[in-house]
Amino acid sequence: MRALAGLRERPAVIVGLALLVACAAVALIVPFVSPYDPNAAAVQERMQAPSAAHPLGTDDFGRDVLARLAVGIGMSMQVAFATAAVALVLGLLLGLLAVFVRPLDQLIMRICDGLLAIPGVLLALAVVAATGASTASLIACLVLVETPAVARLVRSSALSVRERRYVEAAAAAGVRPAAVVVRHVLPSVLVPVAVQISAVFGSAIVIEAALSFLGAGIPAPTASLGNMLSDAKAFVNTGWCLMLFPGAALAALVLGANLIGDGVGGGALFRLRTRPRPLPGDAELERERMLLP
Amino acid sequence: MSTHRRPRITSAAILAATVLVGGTALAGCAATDTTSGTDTTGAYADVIRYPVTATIPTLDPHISPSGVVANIDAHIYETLVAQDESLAPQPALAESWTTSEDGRSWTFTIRDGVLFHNGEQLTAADVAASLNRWKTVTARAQTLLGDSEFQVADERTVTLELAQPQGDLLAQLANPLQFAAIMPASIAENAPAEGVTEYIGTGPYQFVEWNVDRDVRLTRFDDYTGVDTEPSGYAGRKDAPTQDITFDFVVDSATRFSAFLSGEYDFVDVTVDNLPQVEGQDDVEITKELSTGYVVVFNMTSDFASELSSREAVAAAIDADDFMTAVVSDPELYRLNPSYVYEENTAWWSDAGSDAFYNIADLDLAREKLAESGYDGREIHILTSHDYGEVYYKSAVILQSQLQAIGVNAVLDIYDYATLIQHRNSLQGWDIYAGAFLVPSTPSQLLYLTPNYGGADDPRLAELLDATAAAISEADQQASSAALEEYLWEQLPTINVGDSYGYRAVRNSVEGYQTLNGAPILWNTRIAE
Amino acid sequence: MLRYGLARLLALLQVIVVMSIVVYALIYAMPGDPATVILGDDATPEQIAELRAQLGLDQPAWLGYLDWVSAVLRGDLGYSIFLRAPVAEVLGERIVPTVSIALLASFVSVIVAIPLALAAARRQGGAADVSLTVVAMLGIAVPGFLLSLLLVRVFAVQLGWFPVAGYASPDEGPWTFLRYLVLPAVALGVVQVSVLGRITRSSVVDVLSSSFITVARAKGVSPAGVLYGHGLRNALVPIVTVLAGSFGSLLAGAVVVETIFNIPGVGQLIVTAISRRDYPVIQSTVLVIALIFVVLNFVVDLLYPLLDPRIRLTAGARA
Repeated sequence: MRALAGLRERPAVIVGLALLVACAAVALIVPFVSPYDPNAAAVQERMQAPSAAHPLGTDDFGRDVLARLAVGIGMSMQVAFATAAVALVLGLLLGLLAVFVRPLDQLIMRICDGLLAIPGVLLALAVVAATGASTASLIACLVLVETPAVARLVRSSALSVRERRYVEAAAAAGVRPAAVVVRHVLPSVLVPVAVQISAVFGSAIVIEAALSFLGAGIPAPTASLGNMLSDAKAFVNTGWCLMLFPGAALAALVLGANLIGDGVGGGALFRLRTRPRPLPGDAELERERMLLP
Repeated sequence: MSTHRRPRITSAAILAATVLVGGTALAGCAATDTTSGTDTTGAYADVIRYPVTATIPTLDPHISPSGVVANIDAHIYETLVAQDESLAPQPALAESWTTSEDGRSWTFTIRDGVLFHNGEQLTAADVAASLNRWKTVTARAQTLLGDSEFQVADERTVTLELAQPQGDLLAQLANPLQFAAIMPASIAENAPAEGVTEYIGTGPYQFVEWNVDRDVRLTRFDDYTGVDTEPSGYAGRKDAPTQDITFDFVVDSATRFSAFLSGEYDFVDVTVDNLPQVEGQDDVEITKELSTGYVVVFNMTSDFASELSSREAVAAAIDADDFMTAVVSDPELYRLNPSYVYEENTAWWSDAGSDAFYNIADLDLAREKLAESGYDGREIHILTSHDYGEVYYKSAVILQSQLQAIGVNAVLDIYDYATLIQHRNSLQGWDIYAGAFLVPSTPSQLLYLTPNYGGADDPRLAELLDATAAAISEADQQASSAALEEYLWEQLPTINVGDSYGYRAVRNSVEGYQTLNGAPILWNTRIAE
Repeated sequence: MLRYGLARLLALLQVIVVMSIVVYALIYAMPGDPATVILGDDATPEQIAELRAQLGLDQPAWLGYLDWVSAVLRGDLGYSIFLRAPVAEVLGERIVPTVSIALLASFVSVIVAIPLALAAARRQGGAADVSLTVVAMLGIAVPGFLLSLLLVRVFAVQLGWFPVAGYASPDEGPWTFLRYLVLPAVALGVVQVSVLGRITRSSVVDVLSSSFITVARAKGVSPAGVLYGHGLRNALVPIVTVLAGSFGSLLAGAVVVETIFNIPGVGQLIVTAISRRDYPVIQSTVLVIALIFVVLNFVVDLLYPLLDPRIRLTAGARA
């Protein structure tokens, strides 16, 4: 995997990874160390500023913000990972099917285009209204929103590989179709898809936050960055800390994901030296399109 | 294509210039004062603009249970009797009434010379038709009136024969929510199922237009004739000094408050978070008013809630101070109240039987009762919604926390309001529901004790409620209320937690502004320029 | 070219059909209905049933779908239950604010992003490049609603430069009209600045490093001429693609922004319609928006060869 070899030289990937690892660390370590139950209301201690007892203060129900932040980061990352993983698998499956089982091509692509045509947040809102807010339905809904773009990307990458000589040669030599796919097609498809998936991760986090803001996200009292922000909105004057911490965590996660994707894909963001590249084609445009919420 | 030279400096200059010009123009325009869009011909504004907090699906006063609709329609329609400041019914469209000794026959005399907004004279036929329609679409009225109908005795007289005495008839007729509005008979009799579409009343303001989700515009009705007593609550004189009233729908509270700060509105509800921003201002008056009562309602058909000891466990676990503080965010904004009416309502207020379980926060007792009920750790569903300013949501969150402390595996089911109502009515899949309710003047008007709401199909409860409805003398009222209260604290189909207040801000330039339980009364209001 | 166009048109129609089915299926799956919302807390089951029948809600799903589709094909987008007006009329009114904000946001993002990106590409690693990077990072990372709240707090409440919320129609004067649009447009446009800026920069950089630029310089074309003449032209295809594609995201962003700024646009229309189950509005409006989005992309696809003759259109290579 030559693409990965150059990673160490790209500051984008390192910074991105650092951000994600830091967030993950908070999510994993704090629950073990903190004496507080993130869901237990302690109303007499509400709205306290950061102090030794509560490093990030307390919210309007008296719950420890740091403990909730850890859960929130964990929830956001879990939802985003789950979405990214399922979208990856489904996207690969659908994209490869579309390419190698010709009759399915039109059908799959039309469905994907149809889903892509409906703006993500609206589709998510409608799905959540139909199914009720729960973590499972949220993930299902995000998968529905994100998979079509992955499938399209897989398809276009696989198409370009399919035409190549060595694949034809392998097929002519009698290698079984499945083996052809796995050994020859998949590796070439994986790099652009990996970039895409990092964008899916970032997008999932943002859409969940938006849904929570509109009241349709991860159900209370479980903390999620989105619903922490939504709760904090009512205290934007007297308790702006409540917005600061989940906001910063959200920004860190999204930024981290995008930096990694950017770095793996060629580092357009952080590239300080020029390098000849082909014209931006479908793949890069798709990726940019994915970055928009 | 030719390569034309465009030095970088030019494009940068163009960019900078655009930004500068645009910015100055816009900032300069910002200097103009945006007050209530009034014209300055007199000392007072021609229009009152009042922001309301939720959008409405209909303006029909009989059908809609919405407080916003009631607030708007109170300016358009009138009732036979109206609530004054102390919630007592006063003559409005009815100039007098008599009742038989057994409290079952009522005769109302309608005021003479009252005109509708369409110029027609108000007659007894209009009153009867309106009230009979009100009865068919309002569950509360159906319980009140049963099969009885209002009859026309003559041009100015309406009669009613009840199957049993109803001491609360006047209170119900005066209740400002989903109220007994009087409209022309032709409209009342032909009203479609989704509500009337013509809004003709006898009130001091008439309907002009409703831009759905944006605003409702009213203008003064110059041929208005009213009673000539001192204004008090919904009763008394209505002078309509201001020509027009516009109710603007501004659903987001941050938006509403910011619009008040910038001068677009002269009235606003103030959240605890916003309070510091208005407290210091010289030209603003802050008031604190009672707004709602918080209640926990059980679904008596669910496995969990049908067990008395489960309900006792929940009641014992509730710390009312913590609950109310969490919900209203400020200890100043609540008071404890074990009763279903406000303590100012001396005729009906009682705390009989509340010692056993009100605000005891006895976690050991709670756990004991829970064990007694045979609770097996299954999920207990609290039904809630983010809509309507988080009153349901916050109640649910704090309740859940207090229940989890005694080992109840409580989960929140959050829906939007439409789905919430559907689930609540279906009585499927939920155990507990908590939120804020408008506090009525008599227990017979309580929404949450009707079978609709939690399935309390309890003959004894119905009997006690009927007794309060029938009570006429103050002694009877006290006794029947105490009996009901005691029964409620013993059987716990619902649990009262406390009353909440709200802060409101009004600019000092506003004169003659009244409120009653948070509802705006604008028909004697004017705003100095 | 013609065959390509027709093929794309056919694909477009199929996509529209899929979309309409998805939307209808979702709506059918939502619990609750408009009758419950109208009649509220105290309604009896009989009242609700009567209203449902009156609103035509008691027919089977597939029949409702066919009715809707045949009506739309005849140009009838339905009648809103709550707004008491034809959906087409409501949509026509509501689309003006949303499109105005989207256009203003696009305009702002173009005049900010493109010069910045050009400057960044020209001197890589310099001040402009770093600024672009910083703006790009912020644009991606800060959610739209957070940015909106910050903008309101600083520019509307504290500085008083712009109104806090609301909307003025164009016939109240051009400056008043614009004033109400600035903050929402900025909130929406920031993300676009980052995407547009990055892609412009990378396209321009790619061209600048290619061999024919050396030839051009040797022929005496100035650095500026190279930058604009060749760099910008090369970036046109991706720029146009991003602008077209971002219409969908602007609409999604509009949903939240319109709620915060209380703007009577399409975003707010849909959110309100979903929460009170105004089925005709949800169905037809989402369909129309998606239609616009799809058609826009279709037009852009057809424009590609005009913008850049080097792009070959082989029907298989495009997804």
